[in-house]
Amino acid sequence: MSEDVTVIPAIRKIPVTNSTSNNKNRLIREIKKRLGFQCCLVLLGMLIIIAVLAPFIVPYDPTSTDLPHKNEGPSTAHFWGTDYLGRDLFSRTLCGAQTSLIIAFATVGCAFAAGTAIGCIAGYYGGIVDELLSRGIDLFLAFPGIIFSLALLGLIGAGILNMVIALTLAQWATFARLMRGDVLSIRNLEYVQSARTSGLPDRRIMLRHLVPNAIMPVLVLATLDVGSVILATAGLSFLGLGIPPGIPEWGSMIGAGKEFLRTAPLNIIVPGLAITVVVLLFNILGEGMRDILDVHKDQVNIE
Amino acid sequence: MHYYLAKRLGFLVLTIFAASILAFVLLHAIPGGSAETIARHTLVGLEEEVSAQMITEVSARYNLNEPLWMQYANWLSAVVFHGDLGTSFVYFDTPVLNLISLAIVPTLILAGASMLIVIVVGIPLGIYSAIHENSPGDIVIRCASVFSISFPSFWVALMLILFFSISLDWLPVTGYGTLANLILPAVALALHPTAVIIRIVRTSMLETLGQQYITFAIAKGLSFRRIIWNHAVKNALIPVVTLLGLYFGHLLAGTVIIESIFAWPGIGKLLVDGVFSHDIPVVTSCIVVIVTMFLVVNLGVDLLYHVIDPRIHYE
Amino acid sequence: MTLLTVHDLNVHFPTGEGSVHASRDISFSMEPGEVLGLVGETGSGKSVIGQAIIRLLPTSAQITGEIRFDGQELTTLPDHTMHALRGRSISLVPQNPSGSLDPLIRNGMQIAEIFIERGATKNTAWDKARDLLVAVGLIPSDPIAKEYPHELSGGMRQRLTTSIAIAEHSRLIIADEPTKGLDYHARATTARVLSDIRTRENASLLLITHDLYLAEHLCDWIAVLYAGEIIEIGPAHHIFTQPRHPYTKALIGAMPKNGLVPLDGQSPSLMAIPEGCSFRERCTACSNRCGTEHPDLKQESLNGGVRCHHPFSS
Repeated sequence: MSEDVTVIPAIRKIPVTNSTSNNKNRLIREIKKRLGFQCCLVLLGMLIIIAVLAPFIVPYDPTSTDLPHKNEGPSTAHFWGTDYLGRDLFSRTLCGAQTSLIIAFATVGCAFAAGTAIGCIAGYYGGIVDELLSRGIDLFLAFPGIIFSLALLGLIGAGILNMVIALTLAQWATFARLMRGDVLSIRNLEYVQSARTSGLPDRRIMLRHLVPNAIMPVLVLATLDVGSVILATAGLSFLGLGIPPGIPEWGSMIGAGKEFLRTAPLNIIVPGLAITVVVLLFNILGEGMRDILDVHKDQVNIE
Repeated sequence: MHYYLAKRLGFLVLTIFAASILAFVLLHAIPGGSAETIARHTLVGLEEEVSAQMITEVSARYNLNEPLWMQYANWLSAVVFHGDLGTSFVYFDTPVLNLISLAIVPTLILAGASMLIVIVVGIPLGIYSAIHENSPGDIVIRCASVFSISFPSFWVALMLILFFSISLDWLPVTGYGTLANLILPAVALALHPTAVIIRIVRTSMLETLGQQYITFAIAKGLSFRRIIWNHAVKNALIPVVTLLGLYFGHLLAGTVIIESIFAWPGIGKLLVDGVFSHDIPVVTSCIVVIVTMFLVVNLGVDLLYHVIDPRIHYE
Repeated sequence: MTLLTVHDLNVHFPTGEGSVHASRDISFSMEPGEVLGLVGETGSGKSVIGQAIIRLLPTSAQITGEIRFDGQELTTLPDHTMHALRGRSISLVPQNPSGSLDPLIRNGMQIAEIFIERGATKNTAWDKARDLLVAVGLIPSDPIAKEYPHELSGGMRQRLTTSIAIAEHSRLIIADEPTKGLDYHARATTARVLSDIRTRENASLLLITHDLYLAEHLCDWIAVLYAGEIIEIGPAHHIFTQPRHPYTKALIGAMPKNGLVPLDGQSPSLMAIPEGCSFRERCTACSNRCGTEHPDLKQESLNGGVRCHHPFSS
């Protein structure tokens, strides 16, 4: 048969001998190798600073309306233009960053804490405890995406706290399942067995030995989850749920602005881009971490 | 094998059952499910006051004074024995079953079309990306994927509408019935999962290509075509199959927002409308239906996995 | 005409922590029908040589030197020309048969696909595959052909990969650790299969192994590797009866039948090769010279060569 180019799949695995450098050095070296990751870290740092300082540094009050100047394009007075009520888009977008990040970090923090605790207990104790907890985990995992949060928010009403509760309930199970899997695979390793036989109390074994090792993939998941939560928040507030009317949030800005799609698309484009950029940064962060922490995956030994 | 299947089906039913309890409890035990809220939504406008008489009326009508477990038992027996999912609070006493049966087909069409896009676009691009690793094409695909994962789907939908409906006037915005109506919603829904699948397929292919049996296939002197398609792709796609099942669930969840934007008369839109109008029977039933669909597809994909990988046996 | 000549082959692997000099100044040759054993410990770099010949090293590997097969210089061949040689003229019996067999392909197809590629019909290909299974002792061939690799034992998988290597009557077969991890019975069967290849195929066999019994049984010539370089090369019976390098002597001495006398210490890391003779740290017969001057491989025509300043006399 004829082929112009025989592209043989490149063989990637690189043989290594004993590695001598310790973990911290290796981590730093891996980070140094990745320019994109460094940029991402810098940008995220800037984002967090902006989000924290937002109410103080914005040129306009995000809630003050100015109807004569509604739906204007970018100008010297308004950096990114105004929305359908004359509010400054730039200010609203920056404050929206604060809202999104607060909700996202709170949600991921709670889901992470609850999920890893439950997953660890389930994986470590096994038996009936594991069965019960696993059924619980599966139950929550049976509700795809925002279905659960949607229904819950629709009924408990709007509010930042409600939003965090609704999203945490939807997310914790993913963390729990991953943690449980990690713990199960580590539990039977020798050093844990020896800790058990030496009579250490269960809790100490869990904290000292299991958790630090099992938790790496879960941390990566947490970083990636921040992006998912921001998207979920935006989706729910787009529909009109969860966010009280006064607070600027990107999803609700898009939701409110969608009537003006034809006439003043900036209402929608600006917050949408903001969401995209922030989620993108967290995704790059999460994947960079996963990449760095898994670095030994494709190495084999010389014979 | 049959034992395994029976066990999985058993778990499926149990999970649906548990999910329905959860949904039911959620919706009835929380302030939003109280007689007052229902009265406010159904009998008067949202702004007006609800009289005590209205509350009594509503409570009697919907049996809201009974203990929660009894309400659930009534609901469950109605569902199982009579196929009666209740009556909508909002749509003039229409049986919920009717509403759902009308809504299920559009959602299946939308989800199916999106899934088709994900498979037909995502898998080949992922394979291409892996084979031509680090080529310009690969880099473009990867950048596009990373961005596509970060776009909010509802925003993509609006941008597509802005571009194709408003600017170019090629496609209609809302409506249901023709292929033209299907394109924008299906694409908007499919963008995120497609990007994810591209990356998963790419990673899986790259990992497979690094396996020893691929090296040995090269040593055998087999052609590139054979190595990639008969060996690498087959092995690489196995884990992808189960993930497709998981992503079908995300697709289902995504229909909630997409259907609302495009006024697509599916279960997602029904659910959202139900949530806003506090139409509890509708919301409960929609949730149960969505969860059931999700779990059934997952089970199907799991079984498929057992069929295509000869190493796995039914335990 | 000499079938294979390897001259001054050096292989480097750049890694995150420095460059690994896996093969150093490797030179040897093979005649048609000859069995050459590359013998050494784990980490001595023997597999790398085999992979270098068939050009299956990672793309980042840096190879210098010459590898002439049948008059052709392999290191500079274009990819598709080299690929045409694989399977046909040069075959490999891989080191890890379990990992080297595609788990989704039936055993018979693992062999048959080679013939199907060359244009045979499915039936013909499967017939030939079954014949090959019989040739390596995998009988009854029909049920085995229909099964999957995970249903075979380690020894059976080893024979399967061997049968694939002889499918196209290659002139050079590289067998990489064919008895690694096998139990006694499987080792014996594999040894017999390899021995049969020699008589049936009249192919040259490059036997890479740390199994000295196998080497003693099969090889005409033996090259002993240490820390990436050949430290002794010669006819098999000489190596086993009159080893000249201290390492070779210790290696032979460590065989169970010779008293199982172990050798202290570890071979050096291939990232930090010591100055002078690589074996200096573990050698009981070295001098100051060994610490500073790296010994060359002194060829001694018919009886091979040794890389040592103070070899034992023959």
